[in-house]
Amino acid sequence: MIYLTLLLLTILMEIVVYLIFFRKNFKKVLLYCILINAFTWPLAMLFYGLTNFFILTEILVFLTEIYLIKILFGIKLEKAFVLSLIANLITATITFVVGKIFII
Amino acid sequence: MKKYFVFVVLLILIFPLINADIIMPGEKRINIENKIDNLNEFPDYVFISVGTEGAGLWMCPIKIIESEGIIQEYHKYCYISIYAISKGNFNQTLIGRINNESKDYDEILELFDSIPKQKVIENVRSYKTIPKISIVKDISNFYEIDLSKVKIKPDKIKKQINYGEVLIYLLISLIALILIIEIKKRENKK
Repeated sequence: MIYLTLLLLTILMEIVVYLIFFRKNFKKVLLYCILINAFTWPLAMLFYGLTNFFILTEILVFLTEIYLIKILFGIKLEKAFVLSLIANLITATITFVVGKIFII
Repeated sequence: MKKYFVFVVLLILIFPLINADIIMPGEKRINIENKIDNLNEFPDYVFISVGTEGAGLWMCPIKIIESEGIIQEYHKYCYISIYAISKGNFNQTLIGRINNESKDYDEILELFDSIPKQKVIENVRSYKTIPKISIVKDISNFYEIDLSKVKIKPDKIKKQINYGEVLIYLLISLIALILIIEIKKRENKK
């Protein structure tokens, strides 16, 4: 159950960040946010599971999400970069702390 | 738009079944099999394994490596080293005394130091902790002994991968990617 909670928490936090940027069309933002995470999470899990490099995994996720945000939301690369950076910094930090408290 | 939501909800429901999460810092223990591949190239030597650090000799006793070359498991705190002893210098009674009779650490070390031996491998571990999400099931380390060197790393590492999990992860990503492409196609048509 904790895994589902962490996943939902991640998506929830990213949605909040996305909504601050876009401020409209909640359904579309929600769908795109879930799809972006559904694409990057499994690949990140595979990569982290094989290498144990948490920071490198997060950097790869951040870079991949820049491109996905750009094409899905149709925004400039600079804006996608900032959005991905903020979203991933927040989610990585908070969920890591939550994971530490509840899982170990 | 609604049918996309059904897909993504399904994707979310599948995630916890995989029992994995990138942000989860929990760890699991896996055993490591350590094997020396070329033991038969040294018929004039006996090879022993011993825990040289951590809990000390009495918790990490001397074990003789049999001809198959498999280094036996040790307590989790033992950092194992492998020594070569020429058959002429090998004294099984002394090994038995170190393992079973000696109680004093200094005495154990003194007896151990009295054996003419040559270290050939160090830093061998019987187990490792890896992230809970890891798709690695088992690790096998293979060593090739070279009497002129002390090896600190295996020559070959084999990792057994849980391919079922890999497939599920890739499938979820693929479905998400297909949906993203489909959405973009539809948006471009409008």
